Amino acid sequence: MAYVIYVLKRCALLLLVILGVVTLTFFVSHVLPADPARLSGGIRARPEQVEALRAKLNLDKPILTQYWLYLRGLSRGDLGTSVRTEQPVSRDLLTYFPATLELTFSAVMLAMCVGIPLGVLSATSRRRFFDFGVRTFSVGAVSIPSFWLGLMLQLVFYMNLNLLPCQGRLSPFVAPPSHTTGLYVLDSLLAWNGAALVNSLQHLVLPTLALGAGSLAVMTRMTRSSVLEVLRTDYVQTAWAKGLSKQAVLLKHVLRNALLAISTVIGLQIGALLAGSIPIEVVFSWPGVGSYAAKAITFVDFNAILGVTIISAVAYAVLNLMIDLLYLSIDPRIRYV
Amino acid sequence: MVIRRKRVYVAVLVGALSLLLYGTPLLASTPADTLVVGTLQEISLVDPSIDYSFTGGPIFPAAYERLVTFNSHTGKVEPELAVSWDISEDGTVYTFNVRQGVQFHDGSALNAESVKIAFDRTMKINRGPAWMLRDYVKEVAVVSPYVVQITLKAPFGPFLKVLTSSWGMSIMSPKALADHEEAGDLAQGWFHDNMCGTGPYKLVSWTKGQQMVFEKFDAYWRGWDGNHVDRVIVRVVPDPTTLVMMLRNADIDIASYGLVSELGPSLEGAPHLVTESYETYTTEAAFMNTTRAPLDDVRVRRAMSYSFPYEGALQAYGGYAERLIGQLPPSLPGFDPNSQVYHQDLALAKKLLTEAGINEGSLALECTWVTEQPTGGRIAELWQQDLATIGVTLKLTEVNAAGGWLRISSPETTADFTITRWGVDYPDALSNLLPLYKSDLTPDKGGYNIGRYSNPYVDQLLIQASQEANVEKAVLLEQEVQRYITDDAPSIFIVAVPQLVCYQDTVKGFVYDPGYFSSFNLYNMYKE
Repeated sequence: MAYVIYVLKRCALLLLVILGVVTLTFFVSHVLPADPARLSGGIRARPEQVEALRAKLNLDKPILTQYWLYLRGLSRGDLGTSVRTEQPVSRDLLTYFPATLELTFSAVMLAMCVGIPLGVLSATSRRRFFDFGVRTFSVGAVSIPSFWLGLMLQLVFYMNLNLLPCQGRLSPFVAPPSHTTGLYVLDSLLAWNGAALVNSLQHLVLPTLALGAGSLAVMTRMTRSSVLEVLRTDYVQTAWAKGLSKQAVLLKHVLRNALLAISTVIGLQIGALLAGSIPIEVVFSWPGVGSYAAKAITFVDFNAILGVTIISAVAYAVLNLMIDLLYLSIDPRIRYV
Repeated sequence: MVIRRKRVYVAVLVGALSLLLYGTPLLASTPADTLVVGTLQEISLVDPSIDYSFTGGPIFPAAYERLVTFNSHTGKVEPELAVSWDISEDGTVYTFNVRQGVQFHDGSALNAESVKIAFDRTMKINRGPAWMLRDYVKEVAVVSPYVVQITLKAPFGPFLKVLTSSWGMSIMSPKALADHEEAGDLAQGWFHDNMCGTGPYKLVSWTKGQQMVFEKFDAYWRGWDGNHVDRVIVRVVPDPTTLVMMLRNADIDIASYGLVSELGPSLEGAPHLVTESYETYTTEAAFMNTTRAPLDDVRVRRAMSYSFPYEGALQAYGGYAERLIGQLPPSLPGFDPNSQVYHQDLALAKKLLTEAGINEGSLALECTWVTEQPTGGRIAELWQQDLATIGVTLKLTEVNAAGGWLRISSPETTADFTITRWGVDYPDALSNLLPLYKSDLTPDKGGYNIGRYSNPYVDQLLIQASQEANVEKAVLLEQEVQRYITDDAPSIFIVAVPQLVCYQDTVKGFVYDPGYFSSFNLYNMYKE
């Protein structure tokens, strides 16, 4: 019961967070010196056409009224219309969000599946050559700007070696799998479409590496230090002393206890990856919310900017709630009341 | 046992990796029956009544056609969906014989009614390109099933050329319009994402943010004899360096819009690529705010025109641009070849400033340009150095497109100089001269006379030229306008903006169109 109440409390808090994010983004974007109605009207727009657009976008009303109208729409799930695409923002987000989700998920997977084992191995071979190599790699990966890494990966693996595609989610000649979730890898598995599966995986490789490298490095460093800490504890000494295999000690005693810190980092990294996807999506022509946001900003597309901010905030908050709930199964001592 | 398990892991890993790398081998080049067009910017909607952008260039000519087209090589208007036409003596009634036996992509037939419905729709929606019809057209009437008559409010000489415009003149299927109309929206919801015209290719899929696929329309009225491609894929590549890599790796067959001149050198050295630079009808100029001192004084404006680094400015285009002689691109009908030309002469500029009573070191002016047109910034920086040598301080301000509109919306906020581009709506000198120099066409009134230049005689000449039905007489009037403007110096004419087009040497049949420089003559293009 306490568990359910905790989740409900967190959801209520999420609403407050969204309200805060909306308020801040709304006022910051609306004080920008720009006239979206004029921009959207086209270069030869007559005054009456611009006025009509302004009225349609509610831009002719006082800013507080606009804010109120936006909140009222939001409460009904209406995110307004984008001035650039002239479509409901909610429909645009449904089109573009799955691509971002797929890329972010794949980068998180890279960071976890490679970062955690690397961190453990690095900790257990402390101060040896392997550890030194891993630490050098992670410092490098954290310091390289992701868009630059993206360009370099394109240059090497596409331009010079021509091994992997450099942009998009699918080759021009492969039809997208039938739409179920919008995640191509999942959809092609569901539709049992081998060509689309392999092709979409190929397209994921370079952007995943570019986006995930930084998180991978952070994850490796974090795992290494928390594993080192746990390795020094008495119960691990006991585990060694009673003759458990190396595998058993590392997986059941060390990693299990180090996971709490690691999962916190995962939650924070997901936020960083969602935000970091903007330059990566532009470099790799990845048709996600990042590309959408970049265009929305140059077009002063208020509703689209707000929509992207809200969806990112919700995604970030929900994922972190899930991680908080995960703590319960990682550490049975934790109780949420 | 442990070892064996390890081996299985390794085998699975190697298998997965090799599948990933070689599962579907990347093609060395695109299939011969498919033309892959790369575009830097995706179009956000495909309604021909609304689109007023250059991003539609690779797309609209595939699916839509107009009554008439303009051949920039002969300078003549040619038939497309109209077979012939007749213009009344007074120049106000245009009668078109509509081509028979033409089908829309939905199988319905084109007739005079379709033309009326299409034009009426564009005017009723009243968005981006609608002014080209609304300003001039009084009525569109169906005379007989294949004869349509357009009556103008007043004679407008270039009206036939207006009908060749790439914007707002496409004829869409009335059946599709009726079938998809919802709550009186004139089917705007459906035409936002779908195309239904008479063009050679029909839109079969649009994966937003990635690509549009067009397939050959079997019942196309010109038929499919000779060399053509069966499929056109328009691929969105928003990053210019990626676009260059894809051209070099032969994954993109042709690209133009977005290939800015600076990318030229990176396309050189690939023997399978053809890279050409063309002149467009788009000009770049520095407009002077003539409403306040000191630029309300023609001597100061001339001094500024003499201070400008015309040759240096060409470097901003990586050597692909040519100096503008006069204010119009030489290939634009109505261009005055005998125009007086300003050259950089700093001593003369200084002398003119002194004559105007301006002491050295006392003049500080502001110059703006928009981020989206970075050449403006590079040019302004060069000019700043030259002006400094004659004691004029130039303050440089970069603005974004939305902020730029705010700046030019009133004469008070407009900078002393605004470096910007102007592309014509229809292939005639008037499409440059009217919106840029007619006194009532200021940016807040649907024009682009940023400097608020006002000369009643020029206004009168412009009205005369636009009402003149005789082409030769109209050209003479347009040339006179150009002489007056050059003398009044309300703007500094910099370049006709060049456009790079890059394609694989297997692509044949490409013909460039300076008016709609982002488009391709898809029907006549093929691959070897």
